[in-house]
Amino acid sequence: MRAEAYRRLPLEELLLRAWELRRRNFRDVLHLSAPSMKWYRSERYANSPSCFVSVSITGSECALKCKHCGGRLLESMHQVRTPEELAELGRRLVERGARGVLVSGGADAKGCVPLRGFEGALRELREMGLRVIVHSGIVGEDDVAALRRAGVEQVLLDVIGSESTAREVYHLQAMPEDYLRSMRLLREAGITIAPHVVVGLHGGRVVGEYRALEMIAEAGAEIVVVVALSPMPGTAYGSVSPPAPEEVARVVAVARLLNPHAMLSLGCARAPADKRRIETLAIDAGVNTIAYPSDEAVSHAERRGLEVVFSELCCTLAGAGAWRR
Amino acid sequence: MRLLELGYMGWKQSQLVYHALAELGEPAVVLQRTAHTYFCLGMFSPAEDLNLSFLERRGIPCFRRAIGGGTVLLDREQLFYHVVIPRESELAPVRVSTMYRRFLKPVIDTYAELGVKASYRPASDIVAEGRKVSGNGAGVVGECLVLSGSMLLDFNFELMAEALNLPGRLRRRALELMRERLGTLKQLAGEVDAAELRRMLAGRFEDLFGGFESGRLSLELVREMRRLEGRYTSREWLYARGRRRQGTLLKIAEGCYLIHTKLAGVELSAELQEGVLGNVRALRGGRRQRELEDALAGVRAERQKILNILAERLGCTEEIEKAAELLAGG
Amino acid sequence: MKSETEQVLRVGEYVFPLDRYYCSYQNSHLWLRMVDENIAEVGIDAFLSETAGRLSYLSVSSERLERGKSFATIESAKFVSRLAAPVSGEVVELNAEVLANPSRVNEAPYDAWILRVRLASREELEAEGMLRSAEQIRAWIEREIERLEEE
Repeated sequence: MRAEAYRRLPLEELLLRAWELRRRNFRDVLHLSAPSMKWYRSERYANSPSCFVSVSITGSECALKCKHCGGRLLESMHQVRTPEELAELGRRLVERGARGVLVSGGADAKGCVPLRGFEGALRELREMGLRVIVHSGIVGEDDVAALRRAGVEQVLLDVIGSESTAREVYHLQAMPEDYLRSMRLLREAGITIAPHVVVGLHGGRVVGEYRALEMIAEAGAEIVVVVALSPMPGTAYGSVSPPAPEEVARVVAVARLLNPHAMLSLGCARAPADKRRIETLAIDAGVNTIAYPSDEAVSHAERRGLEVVFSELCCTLAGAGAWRR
Repeated sequence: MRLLELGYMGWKQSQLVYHALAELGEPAVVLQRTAHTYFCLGMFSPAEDLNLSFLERRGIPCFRRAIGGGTVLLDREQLFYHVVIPRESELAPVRVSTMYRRFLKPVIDTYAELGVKASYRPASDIVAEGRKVSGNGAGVVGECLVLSGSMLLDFNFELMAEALNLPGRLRRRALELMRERLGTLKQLAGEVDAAELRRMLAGRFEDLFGGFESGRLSLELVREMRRLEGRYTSREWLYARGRRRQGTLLKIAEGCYLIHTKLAGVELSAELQEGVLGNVRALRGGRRQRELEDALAGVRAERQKILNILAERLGCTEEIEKAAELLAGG
Repeated sequence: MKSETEQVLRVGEYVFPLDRYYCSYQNSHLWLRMVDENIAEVGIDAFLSETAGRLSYLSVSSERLERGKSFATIESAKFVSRLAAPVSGEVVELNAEVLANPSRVNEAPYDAWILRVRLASREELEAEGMLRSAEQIRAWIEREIERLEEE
C-alpha cells in the first residue's frame, strides 16, 4: 500500500494497524531519550548538560535562515568554526563525561552542512571514545566519501517531500529526488541513515510529508524520525498554528506501516501545548523511541504494556540494535 | 596601590587590619607578623574543632575572620600577607581559582628565590616537595576582595596538635600527619632571615602590581580597626557562626584530612588521603567493628557510596547522612 | 515533580534553560524561575557555579529580600562571598536539601533552588539586569567569558 492510501484510512484503523505491526515486529520496549540539547526533568529521569550534545560547525551562522528556525536551533548547540576547535571541544567534553555528539550546523546556500574538511576532527572524536552522528542536509558523492572516511556512526537529514516546501521554507532550489539520492548514496556507502520528517513544516500544513515517507521507505532507512513543527518565537513561523496532534499521529502511523522494520522515533521537536497528546498518540501509532517524554506518555506506555528505558543519547542511538523481535 | 609593611602587631590587630582596609575600600598589600600566638578560624569553621578550654587555660586567644579557609595556628614564626583590592578593580578575577593563582604568584616566586620549587595547589594551598608550605583564605569584605595567607618560617606542630578537639590517639596521629604533610622554610631552605624574606616578598608583589606607594597605619585605618574590634571579638561572633558538622573534619593539607565522628553508637575515625578513605577505625562500646572498617577502607570519598555503606549497616538517618557527607570530605 | 523539557541556550561551556530569568544586575549570576503567580525560585547559574568552584557552605541570612542587597553567603574554594538579591520580597521557603548539601549547586545548578520568594512587585522582573531572551543572555555571558579569557 502506498502512503496516500494509508493516509485516507480513518485514524483509529490506522493506529490499530500500526500498533499491531509494532507488537509483531518489535519487543515491548519503549526507549526514551533525553540528550543534553534540552534541559529535562521528570519523576523518573533527569539529564545532565554534557552527556550528549550537539555542535554547530558554522558557529551561529546559517545561510538559509529557514522559516521555522531562523537559526534559533543553533543557540542550543556548542559552536565551533574549525576542525581544530571541534577536536578541542571533543577533548573538553570527554573530560566532562560526554558520551557522544551530534555534529550539525547552519547550512550553506545549497542546503548542505559544510562538513568537508572536518573528516579528521570527526575521526578524532570517535577515537576519543565519543559516539559521533552527523546532521548533513543534501549530500553528494564527495561528501559521502568524506563521511565514510570520518567513520561517523549515523547521518541524520531532514527529508523534504515537496519542491514548494523546499523553496518557500528552506529557500532552496532542491527537488524531493535530491533527498532520495542523498539517502541512497549514504546507504550504498554503508552509512546508517536516520532521515527526519517534519510534520507541518510548510507553515503548519501537511504538504510533502507523505512523499518524504515514501522516499525514506524506498531508500530502506533503518531509523526514521518524525518531528512536528513547533512555532518558535522570533522566527517567520512564530505565530502559525502547529499541526494538529492527530495529523502528527497519522504521519507517525504511516511511517510505521511503510517502514515495518525500521526503528521509529518521535524526535525532539513538537509544540509544547500538544506535547502530551502527540506522544500518547505516537505510542499508539507504534513508535519505538520518544525524545523528552512527558509523564503522561510514560504512564500511557506502561498501561499499554511497554517497558520504558531511559537513555541520555540522541533518540536515533537510544536502544539502537536492541529493538527488534 | 599601597604597600603596608607593619612589622609585629597584636593578635587582633593582625587580623583587623585587612578587614578594616577592605571596609574602607582601600587597595593594599599588607606584610606583617603577629607578636602573639593565637588560633584563627575561617568564617565558617566550627569552633568545636578546637579544644577551647585548653586554649583558655593556656591563655591562647582565638579569632574568627570574615573570609574563608580553615582553622590555623598563627605565631611569630610566620610572615603574613594580606591582599585587598576593590571588587570592581581590573585585577579582580572572575574565577576564584584565578584569584589564588594570580595573588599567590609573588609568594611562589619568593619561594623560588629561596631555592624552593613551590606551586599552587587548588583550592588554596602552596605546596613544595609534596608538603603544604602556605595556607590561604579569601573572601569579599565590604566591597573588596581579600586574600590572606602566611609563609611558615617554622611551625609549632605540637601546639597545633594539642589544641585539637580530638581524642588523644587522633591528636597523636594528627601530629604525625602534619609533620609529614606540612613544610616550613626552616626545613626546606634552612634558616631564613625574616626581614630579608619580607623584602623579597614585597618585591615580588611590586612586580605584580607595578609599583607601590608605601603606606602606614593611618589614623582613619586605626579608627576603622577599633570600630570593627567589637564585632569581631564578641563571643557570639566567635562561637555562633561556624557550620554544624557531624564530627570533626580536620584539614592537614590539601588532599589530606583526618576525620572523627560518632554515629549510631559507633565512634569512627578515618583518614582521607587524595580522595580515598584509609586507616579506618570503628569502635562500638570499645570493640572494633571490623566489618564496617573493611567496608570503608579504600573507598573513594563519594557521598552516595559512603552513605550506602553506612546505611546498610547502621540504618539511614539524618545523622548517618551527615556523617557520610563528613567522610566524603565535607 | 512534573516532567519538564526546556530549550537551552549554550554559550561557550555554559548552559541556560530558557524558562527563567537571569540576573546580570551586579553580575550576580542568579536565576529566577516563576513557579506560581507571584512566587519564584532563586538559584545560582552555571557560570557562577563553575567559576566559584565547589560550594562547601551556603546560608541564607534574611527573611526578606531587597533587590541588590546581600541575602546569603557562600563559601567555595576557601573563598567567602555574598549573593545579592535579584528581586525584593518575602522568603516563603528554603531548600533545606541544598542548604545542607551546597555542592548540589555545582552538580545541577538549575535544579538546586535555594529559596522561594513571594515577589513584592512583578515590575522588578522587567527591571534592568533581568534577562529573559536568548539574545540578551548570550550578549551578557559572552562578555563574561571575555573577562574570563583575559585572566
